[in-house]
Amino acid sequence: MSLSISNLTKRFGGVVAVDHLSFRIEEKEILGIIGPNGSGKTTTLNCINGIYKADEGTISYNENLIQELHPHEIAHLGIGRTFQVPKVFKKMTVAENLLAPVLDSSESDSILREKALQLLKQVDLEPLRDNLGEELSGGQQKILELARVLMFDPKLILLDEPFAGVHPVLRTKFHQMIFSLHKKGKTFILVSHDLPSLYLLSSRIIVLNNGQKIAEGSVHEIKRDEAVIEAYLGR
Amino acid sequence: MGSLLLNAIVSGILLGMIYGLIGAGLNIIYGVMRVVNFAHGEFLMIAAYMIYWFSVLYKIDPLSSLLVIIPLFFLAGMIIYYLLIPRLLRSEDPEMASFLTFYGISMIITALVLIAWGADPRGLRFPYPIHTLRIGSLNLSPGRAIHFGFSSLTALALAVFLYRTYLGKAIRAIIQNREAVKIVGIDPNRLSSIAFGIGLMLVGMTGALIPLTFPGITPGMGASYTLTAFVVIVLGGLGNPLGAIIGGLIFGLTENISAIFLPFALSPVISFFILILIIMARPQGLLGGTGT
Repeated sequence: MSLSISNLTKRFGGVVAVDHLSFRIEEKEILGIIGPNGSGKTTTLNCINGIYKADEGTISYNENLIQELHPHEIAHLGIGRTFQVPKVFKKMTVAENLLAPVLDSSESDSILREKALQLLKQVDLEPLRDNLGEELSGGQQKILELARVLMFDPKLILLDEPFAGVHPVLRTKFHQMIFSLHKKGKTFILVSHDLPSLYLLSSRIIVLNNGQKIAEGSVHEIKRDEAVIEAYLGR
Repeated sequence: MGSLLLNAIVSGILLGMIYGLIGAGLNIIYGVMRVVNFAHGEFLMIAAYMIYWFSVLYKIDPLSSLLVIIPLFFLAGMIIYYLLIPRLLRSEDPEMASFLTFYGISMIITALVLIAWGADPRGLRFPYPIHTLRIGSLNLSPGRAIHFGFSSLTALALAVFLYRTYLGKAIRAIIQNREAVKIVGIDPNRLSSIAFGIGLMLVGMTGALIPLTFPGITPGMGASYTLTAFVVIVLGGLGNPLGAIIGGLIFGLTENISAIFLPFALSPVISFFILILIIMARPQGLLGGTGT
């Protein structure tokens, strides 16, 4: 698995949200992306999974260009995605949330149900399987959204602000889940304002400011980078 | 009075089920695509005419005709989707664009039917036993009984489809969150075309059996069903197909029961008064609030 982004540019009218951004992520990496509000983090994820079409540049996944594909086609390639505000199906049960997207699966009904059950057990949502999505807390909805992504077994998972507004206990649980999935071979791109979580989880970090990459390196390097400190922490 | 009330209730449930199914089709289309199909009643009218001509030309009864109507309307729905809807959804205001487009389509369909077959009402030669069913003080025409039975089975099948099949769950999911469906690998275009097909299939099925309950088939009959369908989906909740069934039952019951106590002309007034009351209490409708 590899994802390569080259000169990615996305404009909204006169605003350049992502400005000639290039980076690459290899299999089993956890890449963190940080930056102030409006620095282009979420827009980058939206371009990767096809919600936005890039104005310039290329996005290639396993050496195949994907920037012209639709989001559902990109999902079929093995790229999963969660959102800052979780997009769970609020009027469906927790179990149904996992089973609603399996329309094109070639697996049998019993296998799919068992898979959904095991995933819910794995993320500790099994006792809530018959609750409606809207009855879950914000943090639980984020976990449910991740479990739903795991139903189609993606190789690369894009997490957008997974820890925002999440209770510390759930946050720790989220960390454990990411570590566990990483051990099983999943690759992550993690966008977050929660620096302690990001420092804990990431093997490499990219820093964005005004849509441009201003730094890239290990946690240790990023923490000491003067440009990052100035842009991100404002001093 | 007791007998009158009993008959009004049964008749109200029967009519309500018919209204509900018409509304359910409209609600699936609106819920999935936010498309306002203002020609919904005209598609019902086409189905009623088709049944009439099947009966006159080929001596085929309405229930048997469904074997043709169901796949034909489903296919027509999918074709209409691919011809029109993606373009409408790209407009700045898809709801208004679709409303105006389908309003135009409704006028075209009505005009063409008027030119082809004239304005005189057509009556179906009733193909089933014509003795009124009497159960105690309840009188039920066989046509209505057949229509009610079929409508009830269809509503049940719709509920099973939406809640027990993966395709039904996916349709409920896209009604609730179109963006989320895309990123979990479902092609929203394919799903929407199927939903449009189902919406038209439901109205086609209902329209095919309408002559069993309301004998007169005219080119102008569609408009009132469109209006009723909009009322029941607002009552039951926009975007909730089964809410339309509840809305239809409330509308049908109100219309029939109020006709006992008030002049007949006032019964629509009462129905709309109930609509206003429910909307004031629950603006999202009885089962509304899809979570989008």
